[in-house]
Amino acid sequence: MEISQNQKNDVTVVALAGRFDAQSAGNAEETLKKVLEADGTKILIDMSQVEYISSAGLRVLLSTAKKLAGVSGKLVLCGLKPYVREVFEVAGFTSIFMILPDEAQGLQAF
Amino acid sequence: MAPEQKAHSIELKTELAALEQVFVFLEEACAALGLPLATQRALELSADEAVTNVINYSYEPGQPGPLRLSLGLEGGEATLIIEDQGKPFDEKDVPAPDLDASLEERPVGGLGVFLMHRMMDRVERSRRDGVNRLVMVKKI
Repeated sequence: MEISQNQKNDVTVVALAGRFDAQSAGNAEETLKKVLEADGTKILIDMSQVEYISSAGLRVLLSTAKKLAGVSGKLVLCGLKPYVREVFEVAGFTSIFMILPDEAQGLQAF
Repeated sequence: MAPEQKAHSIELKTELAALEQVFVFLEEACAALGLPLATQRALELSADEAVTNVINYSYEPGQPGPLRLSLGLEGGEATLIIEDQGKPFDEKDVPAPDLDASLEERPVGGLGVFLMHRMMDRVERSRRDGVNRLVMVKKI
C-alpha cells in the first residue's frame, strides 16, 4: 500500500492507496502514530484509492480514532469505494466514524 | 466430472507475504471456476481473515509453518478449505463484537472471525491428526 501525507492548514491529510490488509496495516499504523506524536490532532484519511480493507485495516482506523478521541482530536474519513464501504457497514463502522464523500468535504468537517 | 477435478489448491508458508499469494490464487481460481465477482470478494476477505489468523496465532512467532488452501465448486456452492498444522483454535475464545457500541466502548480487534461468518453461508472448523481444517461455503 502507498501512503502519502500532506498538511492542509491544521489538518493532516493521509492518503492511502492499494490494499489495506494485515501486510500493509503496520506501515499505516506507524504513519498515523507519527502524526499523533507530532501533535496532529486533526486527521483526514483519504481512502479514495483503497481498493480493499480487512479487519487488520479496520483495527488501525479504530485504534487511531480512539487515540484521537483521547486527546480531543478528530478523525474523518473520505472517499470510500463501494466495496470498502460495504465492509464498514458489515463491521458496524459507519456509525462510529465520520465519513464524507471526498477530500474537500472532509476538510470542511473540521 | 468428479468434484475433485474442479478443485484448485495452493500450498503456502505462513508469512504475511503469503497474503499476496492467496489473492493471486483466488483471483485465478475464481476466474477458472467462473465465479461472480461478489462471490470472489467474499472469498477473498474470508480467506484473508482466516490466513491472517493462522499466520499470527496458529504457529509460534517467527516460525512459519505450512498452510494449504483449496477452492472448489459443486452444486452452486463455492467451498474454500484452509488447513494448517498449528495450534488448535476455538472460535468461542473470540468474543463477538458489539456493533452498537460507541467509539469509546468498542474494543479494538475481534472482527476477523465475525467478518468471515458474515461473508460466508457456512463456516465449519475441525481438527484431526494435528491438522486444523476450516471449511467455508458460499452459495453463488
